[in-house]
Amino acid sequence: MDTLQILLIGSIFLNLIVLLLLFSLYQTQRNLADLTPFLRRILKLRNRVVGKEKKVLSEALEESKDTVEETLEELKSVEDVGEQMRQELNAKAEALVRDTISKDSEVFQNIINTITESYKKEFENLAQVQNSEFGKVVAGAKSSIQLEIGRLREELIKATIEERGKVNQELSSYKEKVKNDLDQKIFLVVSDVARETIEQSVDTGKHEELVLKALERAKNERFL
Amino acid sequence: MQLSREVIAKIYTTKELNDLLYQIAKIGESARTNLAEVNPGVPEVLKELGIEGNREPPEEDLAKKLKNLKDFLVKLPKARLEFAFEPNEEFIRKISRLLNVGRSDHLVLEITVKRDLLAGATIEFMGNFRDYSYASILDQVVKEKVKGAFS
Repeated sequence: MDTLQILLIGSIFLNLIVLLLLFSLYQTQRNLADLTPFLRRILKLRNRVVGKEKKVLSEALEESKDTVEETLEELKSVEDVGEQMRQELNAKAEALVRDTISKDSEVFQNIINTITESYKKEFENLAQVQNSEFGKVVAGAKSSIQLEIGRLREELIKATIEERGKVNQELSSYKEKVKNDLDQKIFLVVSDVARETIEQSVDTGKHEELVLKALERAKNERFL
Repeated sequence: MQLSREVIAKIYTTKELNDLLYQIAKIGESARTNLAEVNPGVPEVLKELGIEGNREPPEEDLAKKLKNLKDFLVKLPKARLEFAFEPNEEFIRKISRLLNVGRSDHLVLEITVKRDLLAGATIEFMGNFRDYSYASILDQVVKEKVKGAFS
């Protein structure tokens, strides 16, 4: 069977199906047309039911209104009861909260106490450690300070000795200067007196004698 | 330069030496003039050199002689003496003779007066100095006395 034949058979089969469907559709439309009078009766019945329903609803509404009013009255009394209950509930709630808080406070206090104790211990330990470290530092610093004091003392002594030496030296220089000045003044006075005395006492003959003496001395010393 | 010791010995001090150098310079300037007019009292030293009176030696010969004489005189050793009094000529000659005894050359004296010396003398010779004055002796004595009195 070749392809063309298959297509032809398929096409025929498909056309048959279409025809069947079209027939079926036709039958359905015809049944609907037969139901129309029935549907009209249903509509009328329905309208009648609706009317009754409305009436029943109206009556129900009236009844309901009364019921609502009664209910409201009842609710009012219930509200009073509710208020009382609410207050009781509030009181209970407050008590509960207070109790809870109290309990929580205890717990909190305990926790605080525990923490405080813990911190206290930590601080005590820390203080001990600090004391120990401080002691070490103080010990170290003490020796260092003692060394520094010793060094400063030595420097001070050295500086004092140097300064004393300088002062003594300056004092000696000053004394020497004063003494020399005094010596010089005395020397000048004595020298002046001596000069005047010599000048008056040495005549030409004596001068010549002293010069010859000096020249002979120079010759003897082989200076000339 | 050949000059007799007698002639040289008459140059006692720088005064005589400078006078002589001055006359030599004058003679050189007026070589052909009458030397007697330049210097009536021509020193003996010039006479020894044949420079005397109105004699006019050849110019070149005179100039050479004068130059040699000047060089000789300038090179004479000199001693500077300081005295505390003004010495007279006689004393100067005396000390000149004293100092030149035994010397091969001739020592010319340059004498100055310095009263501060009090007595004695100072001598400067060949760049060296000696103080034989009484001022230095007095200074030393007084210093020692003053020092001793206050120490």
